[in-house]
Amino acid sequence: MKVSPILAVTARLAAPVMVVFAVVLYAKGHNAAGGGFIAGLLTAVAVVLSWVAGAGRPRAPSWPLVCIAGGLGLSLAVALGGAVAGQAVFTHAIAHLELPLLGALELPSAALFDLGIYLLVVGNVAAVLGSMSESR
Amino acid sequence: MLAALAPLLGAALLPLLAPARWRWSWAAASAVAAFSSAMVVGALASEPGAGVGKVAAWVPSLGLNLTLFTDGLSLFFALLIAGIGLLVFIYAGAYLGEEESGTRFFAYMLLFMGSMLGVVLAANLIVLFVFWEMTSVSSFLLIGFWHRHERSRQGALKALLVTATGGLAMLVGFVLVGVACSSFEIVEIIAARDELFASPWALVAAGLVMAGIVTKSAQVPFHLWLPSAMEAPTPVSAYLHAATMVKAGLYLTARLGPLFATAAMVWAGVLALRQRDLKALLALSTVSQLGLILAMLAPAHAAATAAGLLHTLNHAAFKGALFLLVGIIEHQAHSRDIERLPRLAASMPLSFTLLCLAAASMAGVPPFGGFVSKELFLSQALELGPLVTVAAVAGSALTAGYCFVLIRALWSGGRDSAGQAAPAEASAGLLWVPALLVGLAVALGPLAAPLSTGLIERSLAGLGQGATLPVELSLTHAIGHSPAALAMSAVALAGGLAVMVWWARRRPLAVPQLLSDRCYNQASEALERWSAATTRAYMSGLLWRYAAFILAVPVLGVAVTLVVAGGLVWPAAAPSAAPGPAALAAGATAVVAVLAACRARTRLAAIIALGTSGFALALMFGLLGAPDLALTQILVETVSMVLFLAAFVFLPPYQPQGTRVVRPLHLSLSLAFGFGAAALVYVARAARTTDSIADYFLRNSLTEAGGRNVVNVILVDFRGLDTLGEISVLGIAALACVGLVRLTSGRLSR
Repeated sequence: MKVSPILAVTARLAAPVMVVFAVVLYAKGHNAAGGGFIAGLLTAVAVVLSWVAGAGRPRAPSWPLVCIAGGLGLSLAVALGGAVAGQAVFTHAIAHLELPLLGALELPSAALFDLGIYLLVVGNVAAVLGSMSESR
Repeated sequence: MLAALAPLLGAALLPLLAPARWRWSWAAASAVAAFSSAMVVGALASEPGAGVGKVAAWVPSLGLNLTLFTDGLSLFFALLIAGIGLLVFIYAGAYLGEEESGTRFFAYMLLFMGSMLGVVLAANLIVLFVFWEMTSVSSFLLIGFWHRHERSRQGALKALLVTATGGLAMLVGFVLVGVACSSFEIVEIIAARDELFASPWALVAAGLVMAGIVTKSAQVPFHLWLPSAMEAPTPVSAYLHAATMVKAGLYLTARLGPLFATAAMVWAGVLALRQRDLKALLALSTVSQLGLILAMLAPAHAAATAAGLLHTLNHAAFKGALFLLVGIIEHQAHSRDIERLPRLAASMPLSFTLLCLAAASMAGVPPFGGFVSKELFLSQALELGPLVTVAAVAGSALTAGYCFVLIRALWSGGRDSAGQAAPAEASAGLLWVPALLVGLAVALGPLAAPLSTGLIERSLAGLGQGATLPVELSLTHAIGHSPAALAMSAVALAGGLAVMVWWARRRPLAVPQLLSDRCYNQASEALERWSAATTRAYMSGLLWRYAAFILAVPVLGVAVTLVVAGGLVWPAAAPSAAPGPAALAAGATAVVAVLAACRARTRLAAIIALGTSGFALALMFGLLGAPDLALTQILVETVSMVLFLAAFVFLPPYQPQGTRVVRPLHLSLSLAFGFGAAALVYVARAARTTDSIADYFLRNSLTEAGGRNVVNVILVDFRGLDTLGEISVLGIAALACVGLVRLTSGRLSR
C-alpha cells in the first residue's frame, strides 16, 4: 500500500512527541490527570501510527507479547511484594529518594504497579493491531 | 519453606537461561533439587517433634495464612519428593538429549517438584489446595511434554480433566470443612473434629475431599489417567509414579485420617477388591500398590500406619528403580513391548539383574524391603476381618504374579522378538541412579529397622498416633511375629508363580481398553458434539446479531431486576448542578453525529460519524470535570479508529439498509439500551443506602497512598486487586486474539 508522504512525515515527527507525552502522563499520573493506562494507550497509538506510516514494520514482532508478560509479571510481583515484606498482599510502600539533579522524589511502589499496567496496555494494543494488520 | 520455594523460583528463572547451554540448565536444576533435599534433611536432623510454623499472612481477613508443617510426616514425604527428584534430575541429564528436553523440561520438573513440596508442607487447607492444583497443572505440562505426539496431548488432557475435576470437588469439601470448624488450619480442624462430625455437611465434605484424593492418587475408577500418562518422557513417569504426584493423595489421607477414617476404609476395601489388573504393567501396578497403602493408612491405627509408611518408602525405591530401568531398556532396545523385546538376560546383564532385584522387592520375596512391609500389612489385614484378608492375599498374589511375568519375559525374550537385534548394555552414567535405588530397596529388608525406624517414629508423632513404634520394623520380626501372616505370604508367592505359569501358556490379547477409559472417551466426544451444536446455533457470523445479543441481555436483565426488585424509585430532587452551555453543546454534537452515523451510506462515513460522537463525548467529560475519563475516551476512540482501519478488509460489503423487519427491531433495542442506561444512572442516586465511599477516597488518597490523583490512586492502590484481575483479562484476551488471527490467516494462506 502506498503511504501518503504527508502522513509519513507527520507520523515521523509526531510519534516521538507522543511517546514523550505518554511518559509525562505516566510520571504525573499519581498526582495529576494521567496514569499507566492512558500513557500505555498513547504509546500504543504512537507505535501503530509509525507502523502505518513507515510500512517498514518487521513481520510478526514478538515484543508486544513480551510486554504483556513483563507487565503482568511486574504488577503481580509488586502486589505480592507486600506479602514478602510481612504485610498483607497489596500493601504498597513509598520510597523517598534524594536525587542529585531532580531533588526530592517520592517513589511509591504503586508507581511500579502502574508501570506494569503501562507495559501491558502497550503490548496489548500492539499485539492485537499488529496481528490484524499482518494477516491481510 | 525455602525447600519448596527454591524449585518454584528456579522454575521461573530457568527459562532466562534458555539461550545458554542446555547442560547449564540441567546443572542448575539439579543444584536446586540438591539444595531442597539438603534443606529437608537438615530440618529432619535438627528439629525434634511436631511443629507448625507461620510464615506469612496471605489474606488475614479470611483466615488464610501461609503456615507450614515441619513435623515428621511432612518431612518424610518431603524427603521422598526431594530425594527421588534429585535422582531423577541426574538420570534425566544422561537419559534425555538436548533436542528431547531442553530448558523447558527442567523448568517444568522444578515447578512440579516445588508444588509437591508445597502440598506436603502446607498446614492451611487453602494453601494446600493451591499447591495441589499447581501439581495438576505442572503434571499436565510434563505429560504433554512431547506435544507433537497426539497421544501425549490426549494423555495430558485426560490427566488434567480427571485430577482438576477431583480438585474442584475437593475445594468445595475444604470450604465446607473450614466453615464447619471455623478455621482452615489443619491442626485446629483436627482439634475441632467433633464440631465437624456434628455438622450436617460432614458426610458431603468427606465425600468431596475423598473425590479429590482418589482422582489424584489414581484409585479405581479414576485410574484411567495414569496409564495414559505413560506418554510422558520416562524420567517424568518415574517421578510421577515413584515419588510424588500419586502420593499426594496418600499424604492427605494420612494427614486427615482421623476425619475420614471410616469412609476411607470402606472405600479402600471396595477398591482393594477391584483394582488388581495385569494390563499396562507398571502403571497399573502403581494403582494397586497405592490401594494397598491407602488401605493401611486409612484406619488411622498406629501399627497399620507404620506399615503403610514403610511400604511408601519401599515403593518409592523399587518403583522408581523399575521405571528408570524400563526407560533404559527402551533407550537401548527401542521398544517397551513385552512381546517384542528380545532376550535381555545375556545382552544387558546389569540392567536385568537390577530389574530382577527391584521386581523381587515389589513381589514381596524375602529378604527384600517389600517383604517386610507386605508382611506387616498382611498381619494387619488379619485383624481387619476375613474380607480384607482374602483381598490382601489375592492382591499380593497378583502383585507377585506380574513381577514374575516381567522377569520371565525379559529372561526368555518375547514371542514376537525373532529377528530383533540384541541391544547393548547401557552406560554407567545411566545405570548408577537406578542401582542406588535398587540398593535402597534391597537394604530396606535386612536393615529395615536402622534405616526407617527414626523416620517413621517421627511421622507417627506428627500424626498424633503415639511417639513410639507399636511394631518392630525388621526382617526378623516380619518373619517371626505371626505364622499366619507368613503362611499368607507363602500363599501369595505361590499364587504369583501360578499366575506366571498361566500367563506363559496363554497368548495375551491386545491390550483391551479400560472401561473407565471408554466412558471418558464417550463423555468427552459427547461434550464436543454438544458444544459444537450450541456454538453453531448462535455463532451465525452476522455481526448485527452478536450486537443484538450483547444489547438485549443487559436490557432484559436490568429491566427484569428493577421491576421484580421494585428498585425503580425516581429521586425526589433533580440534580443540584446543571451542565454548562459548552457541555450541552458537546452533548448535542454527539447526538447529531450518532444520527448521521445511522443515515450514512458508506462504511467510512459511518465510522467517521461514530468517531465524531466519541470525541464530542470526550469533550463533554472534560468540561464536566473528569480529565482522566476524557483522556481515556479520546485514546480509546483513536485506537478503535485504527482497529476499524485494520479490520476493514475483513468486513463484507456495507449494507446500511437492512430488512424492513430488522431495522425497527434494532432501533427499538438501541433506544431501550440507551435510555435504560441513562435511567439506571439517574435512579441509582435515589437507591443509595449508605454514605458514599468517595469521601473516604478523597480524604485518604494523599495520606495513605501518597497521590493527589484520586482516580489513579483507586486504580493502583485502593482497588489494586481489581486492576490486577482486569489487566490479567486484558492480557489473556490479547493472547487469544493473536492466536485466533494467526490461526485463521494460516488457514487462508494454505
